[in-house]
Amino acid sequence: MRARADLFRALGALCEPPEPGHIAIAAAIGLPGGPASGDYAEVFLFGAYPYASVYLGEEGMLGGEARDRVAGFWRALGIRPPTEPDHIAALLGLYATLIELEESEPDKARAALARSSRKALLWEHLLSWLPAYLDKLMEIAPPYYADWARLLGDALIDEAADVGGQTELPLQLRAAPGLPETDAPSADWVQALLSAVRTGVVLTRFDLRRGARELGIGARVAERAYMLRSMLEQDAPATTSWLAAEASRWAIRHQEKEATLGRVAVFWRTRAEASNAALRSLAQAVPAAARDDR
Amino acid sequence: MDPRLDEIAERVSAARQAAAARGETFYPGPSRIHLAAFPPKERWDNWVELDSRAWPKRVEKRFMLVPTTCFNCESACGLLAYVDRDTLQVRKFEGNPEHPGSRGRNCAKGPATLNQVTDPDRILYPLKRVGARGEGRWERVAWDEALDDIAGRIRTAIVEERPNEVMYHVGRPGEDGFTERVLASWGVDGHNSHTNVCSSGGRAGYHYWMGIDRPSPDHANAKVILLISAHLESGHYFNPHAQRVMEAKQAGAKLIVFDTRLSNTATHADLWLSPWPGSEAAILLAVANHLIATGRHDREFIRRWWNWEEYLAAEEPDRKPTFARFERRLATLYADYTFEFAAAESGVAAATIAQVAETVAEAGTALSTHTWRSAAAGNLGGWQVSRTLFLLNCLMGAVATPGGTYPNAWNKFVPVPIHTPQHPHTWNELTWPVEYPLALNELSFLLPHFLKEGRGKLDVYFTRVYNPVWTNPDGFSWIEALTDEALVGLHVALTPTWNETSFFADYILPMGLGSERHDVHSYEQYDGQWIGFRQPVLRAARERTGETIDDTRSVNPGEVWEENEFWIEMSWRIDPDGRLGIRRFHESKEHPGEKLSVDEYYGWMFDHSIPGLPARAAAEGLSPLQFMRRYGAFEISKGVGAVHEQPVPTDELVDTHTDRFGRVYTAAPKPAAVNLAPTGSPEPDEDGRRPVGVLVDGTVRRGFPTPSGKLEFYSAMLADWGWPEVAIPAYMRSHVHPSNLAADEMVLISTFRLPVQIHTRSGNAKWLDEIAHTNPLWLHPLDAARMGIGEGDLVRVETEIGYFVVKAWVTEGIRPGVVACSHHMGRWKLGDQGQRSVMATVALDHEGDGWDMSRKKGGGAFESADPDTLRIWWTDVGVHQNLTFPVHPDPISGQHCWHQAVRVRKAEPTDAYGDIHVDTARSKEVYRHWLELTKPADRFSPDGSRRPFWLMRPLKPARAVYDLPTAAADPGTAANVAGSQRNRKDKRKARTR
Repeated sequence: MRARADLFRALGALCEPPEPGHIAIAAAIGLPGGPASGDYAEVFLFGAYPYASVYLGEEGMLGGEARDRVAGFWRALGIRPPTEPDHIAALLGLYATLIELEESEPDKARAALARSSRKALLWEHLLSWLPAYLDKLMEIAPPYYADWARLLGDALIDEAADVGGQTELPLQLRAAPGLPETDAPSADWVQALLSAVRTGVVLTRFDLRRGARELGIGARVAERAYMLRSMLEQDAPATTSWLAAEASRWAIRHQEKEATLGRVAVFWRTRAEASNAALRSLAQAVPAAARDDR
Repeated sequence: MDPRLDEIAERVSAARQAAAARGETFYPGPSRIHLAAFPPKERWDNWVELDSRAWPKRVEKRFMLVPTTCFNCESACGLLAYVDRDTLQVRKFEGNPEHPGSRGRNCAKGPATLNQVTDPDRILYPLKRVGARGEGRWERVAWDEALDDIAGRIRTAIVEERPNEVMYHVGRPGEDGFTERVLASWGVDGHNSHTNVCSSGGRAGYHYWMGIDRPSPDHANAKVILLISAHLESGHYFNPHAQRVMEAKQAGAKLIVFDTRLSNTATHADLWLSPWPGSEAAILLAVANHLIATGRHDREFIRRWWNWEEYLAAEEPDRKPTFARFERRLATLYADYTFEFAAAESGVAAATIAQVAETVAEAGTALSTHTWRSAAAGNLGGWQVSRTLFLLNCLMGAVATPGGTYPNAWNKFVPVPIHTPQHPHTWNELTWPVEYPLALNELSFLLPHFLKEGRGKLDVYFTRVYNPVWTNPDGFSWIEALTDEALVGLHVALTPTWNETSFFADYILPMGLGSERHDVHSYEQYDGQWIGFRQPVLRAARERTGETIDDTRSVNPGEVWEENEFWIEMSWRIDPDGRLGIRRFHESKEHPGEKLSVDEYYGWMFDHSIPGLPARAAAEGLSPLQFMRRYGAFEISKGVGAVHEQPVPTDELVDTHTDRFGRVYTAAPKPAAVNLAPTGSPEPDEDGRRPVGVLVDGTVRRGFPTPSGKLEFYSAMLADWGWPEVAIPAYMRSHVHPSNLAADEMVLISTFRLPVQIHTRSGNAKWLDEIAHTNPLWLHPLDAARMGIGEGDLVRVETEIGYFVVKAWVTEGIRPGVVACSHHMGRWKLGDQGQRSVMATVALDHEGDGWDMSRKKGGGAFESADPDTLRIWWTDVGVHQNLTFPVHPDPISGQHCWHQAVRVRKAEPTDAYGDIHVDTARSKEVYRHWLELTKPADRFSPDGSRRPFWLMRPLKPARAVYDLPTAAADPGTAANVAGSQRNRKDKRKARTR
C-alpha cells in the first residue's frame, strides 16, 4: 500500500515543472527519456492545463465552483486547501496521503473513514475527468508525458477496482449543465464549448489548430476562446460541423471506457452524443460567412 | 491489483527511501504542495536553469543559491541570490523557502534588490565634501583617511567628556542591537532613531497595556481580523502578515479594515470603514461598549489578567476592591460610546459600526488585531488608537491565544552577543528632553529646533540609512541646522545611495545593500520565534568555492563596505591602545588582543545563543555558522503560547514578597538571559528583590513586564506623571477633529505608502520606479466640483507654514473633506549627484526664514551603463510635501502627529508643479505651541526621575542617570526635583506594601 502512495506522489511530482529531481523519479517509474522544460510547457502550459476546474467547470476555465468543490473536499478532511487545490499534483499528493493514512491508522473505524475518503476523492475529483484528459494527453504529448499519462490512467483504473465502484454519479458531473440551446454561436455558447464536462469533448489548442488546418482556414495564435471565435467567424458551418465530428469521435472513446468506469463513462458519452446532435443541427442553421482565400 | 503497477510502485518506493537515507528530497513537488516551485536545497550549490536571454536557444546557466535577508522594509523576508557560477555575479533574487516568516514569498521590493545592486547612480566609494557644506562638490577619499578623521573627533569628544556630542541617527535599523552595543561600548547616549515619525504612537498604546511595545497578531488562525492599517499591501511585516491574512480568509475568517482611503487592503475587506481621521478610537470604544453591554466579553480573563484592583484602589481608595465592584464600573465606563456617538464622530453609519461590533463579538479568542502607524501616527492622542484597539483583545481574552494577538517579545528572538557593554552613564537631553518623559522613542524630529535653541550641539553626527531632510516634517529647519557648522561639527552619511540628507554631509560612506552586509534579525510574524541571517552573498559564494574572505570590501562593488566590519574598525581607531576601555568590546575571544572578525562574532552567537541550532546544524554535518550561511534562517520555536500563564518555577521563588495587588518579587538571582527581545523592565521592590511574576488564583505566574505584572487597563504611570484623565483607554479628540478646523480647512492624510516603494530607500530600483513614481493628491469628486478642480489640475495645498503645488487625482476612494497624498514621492536633487530616475532637479531659494523650492527638471531618460535608463518614460516624480509640514509632537507619546489641517485651492497662474514655499519662523512658532502641551518631568515627575525606569528605551542608560539634575537653574524646580527624589522610595513602598 505504502508503495502505491509513493507511486501516486511520484506521478504527481512529474506534472510539476521539470527539475533535476524528476530524473530519479522518472527513472524509477521507467518513463522513456527525461523531463524537458520545453515539452512540459507545450503539454501543460499551452496544451492541456492540468487542473480539474478547467474540465469540470462550466466555462472551461480555472477556478469557479468546480475548484470550490475540490477545495471543499480538502476542508472536509480538515486540511487547509493549497493555493491550487485542483492541480493534478495536489490531487495525487492528497490521494497518496489518504492511502498512507488508511495504512497507518490503528483504529479500524478511522482507517475505514480514510478509505472512504480516498474512494470519494478517486471518483469525485479524479476519475470524474482524468480518463478523458489523459486520453487527450496520450494523443498530443511526446513519449515521456504520453507514457506518464498512460501509467497514471492505468493506476487510477486499478485503484477503482481496489476501492470499488460508485453507486452515484459524482457531484462534479451531476452539477454540470449541458450545452446551452442556441441557434447562433454567441460568446457564452463558445465559452461553453470549451468546457469538457458540458460537451463531452476535450478541446485543446492543438485540436483547434488541427481543426483550422483540416478546414483550410486561418488559426489565430491565442487562447482557446479567441481561436474558436476566429474559426467561427471565418466559417461557422464548417467549424460547427468539424466540432460535431469531434464530439462523435469522443462519444466512441468514452464508450470504450464504460466497462471500467461505468456510469461515469456513460455520462461523458451521453454528453458527447448530445453535443454531436446539437452541433449538427446548428451547422445547418448558421449561415456561411464570406470565405476568402481557401 | 495489477502486479506491473505494484512492481513500478515498489521501485519508486525504494528510490524514495534511498534518497531519504541520503538526507535528500525525493519529491520536489507534491510533498511540498505550497512551495512546489523552489529549487530543492540540496541542489543550491549547483542549480541549473535555462538562460532566458538566450531563448529560443536552450543555454544552461549554473547558479549557486545563497540566502540573505531583504533590507528594504522591516519585514526581513528571506531572499535567495542566484549567483552565476561563471561570473560570480548575482543574476536575480527570489524567495528563500527555508525562511519561516516569509516562506519563500516576497513582495516586489525583494527581487528589486537586484536593481539596487546594479544601480548606475549608486555610491561606490567614500566621498568627502569640497567647498561649503551642501554646495554639491565631492572628492573621492580613502577609507583610512575618513576613518582616522572621524574616529579622531569621536575620541576627542569622549576624552573631553562631551559624549553627548556624538550621535548616530538611524532610519531602517535592519538589525537587532548591534549598533546600540557599539554606542554603549563608547559610553555615549548617542542613539537616535526615526521612530517618533513612525510608530511611537502605536507602540505607546501597546506598551502602556502590556509592557511590550509591539503586537504579534496570529492572523492565520484568526476568525476575525481587524486592521487599522493597509497591511495587505504595505507596512511592517506586511508580506509575512498578508499571506497569513489571506490564509485565514480562505479558511473563512472575516476581515475588517479601518482606513479613510480605499486602500488595496480595504478592497479585500469584508467590512471597510472610512472614518473621519482621528475618530478611530471612538469607534473602537463603541465596539468595546457593545461587547461589555451584551456580555460578550471574557469576564474570567479580565478578572485574572487586568489590573482592576489597582484601578479600584485609585478610584475608590476607601472601599474593598472586589471584581463585582469593578464590573459595575466597567459596565458604565464606556456607556456614552454608543454607535450613534461613534457615527457622529466618524461619519461611518451606526449600523455599520454595529455590524463591526457583532463581528468582533463572534470572534471569541480568535480575534487578531493590528495597527502600527496609520491613525496612531496621524493624530494628537493617536496612541489611544492602538490602546483602544488592544482593549478589544483584552476584553475578548484574545491575548496570546491561537488566532489572537501576542506581545511581540514572545514571538521574537534576540540572541546574546559575544560582548555586552555596560549601560552608558550619561543622558542625552537632545534626544530625551525633559518635556517628554513618557515618549517611547527619541524626539528625533525636534533635533533642529533643539540645536537652534542652544540645547546642545553635535560634534560627530551619523545619519545611517536615514534621510531626515526628506522624511521628517519641517525639512528646511533640518537644512538650516545641518548647514550650520557651529551646530553640527561633522556630518557623516552612511548610505548605500544618494539621498537628500547626504547632500548636506561632510562624508558619504557607502554601506552595503541587503546582499552586501551581515546582520541578524528576528521579527514577530506568527506564534513562533525565528532568526534570519543577512550576509554578503558574494562573500558566501566565494567561500563555498574555497576562498577565504577577511574584508567584505573585497567582494562588494567598488569600495562598498558593510557596517559590522566598519564599526569594529571605527571602535579600534577610537581606542587604538585600549586605554578608553572601548576596544575590549571589539576584540576576538579566540585570539585576545586581535580584532574581532564577523565570522567569530556570528559564529560565537550561533554556537552559544540560539537554542537548537547547533544540534540542527550538526545533523547536516555543518557548524552553526555554516548552517546559517547555507540556509539563511532558523526557526527556534513554534507555538510559544501564553507565556504570561506559565507558572514561575519554585527555584526562582526565594524569600518572596507579594505586594497588595499580587505582584511577586523574589530574592533569587535572575537566570542568565537567553532571549534579549526588548520588554519593559519593572523596578525591584524597596528591598531590591526583582519582580518575578504575579499571583493569580494562588499560583505565581510569569505575567507581563508591567509594574503590576498584569495587563494595565489602568496606568498608574500616566496618572502619576500628570495625565490622570487618560489613565484608562480613552478617546482623545485629534488636532484635526472637525471642532479644531476652520470652515474652509480640510484634513490631509500624508502617511500612507505606495505598495511597491519604501520611503526613499527604493528610489534606486528601476522596476519599482516604473510602477510607482508620483504622488497626486486624492480629492473626492464632491470637493473637486466645489472647488472647480478637474483631474490632473494643479492645486495649491496650504499648511500652517507654507504650501506645495501638486496635481489632483479626483477619486471616490477618499472621504469628502479629506485629501491624501503619499509621502513616498517627490524626491529631489540640487545638481548632478542623485537618483536620476526618480529625483527632480530643483532650485532652492533662501532669504531670511523664507524658503522656496522650484523644479528645474523632472526625471527622465539618461545614458548609463544600464541600457534601461534610456527607456525611462516618466518625468513626473511627485512633490515633496513633508517640507511644508510643521512638527506636531504628541505631548505624551512624543509621536509626530502627521495629519495636517490644510486649505486646498486651485493653483495660482504663476504656480508651477512642484513649487514649495515654507516660512521656518512660522514652523518655530508651531513647534513652541506644541511644546506648551507637554508636562515636563522637572515639574511632573512623581519621583525625581527623568522618565519611568520601567519603560523601554533604546540604549537604556544606567539607573543612576535617570535622576533629574537637582542643581537646575530654577531654584524652585530644583527644590521640587530634590523633594520628589526623596519621595521615590516612599512611593515605591506605598505601591509594594
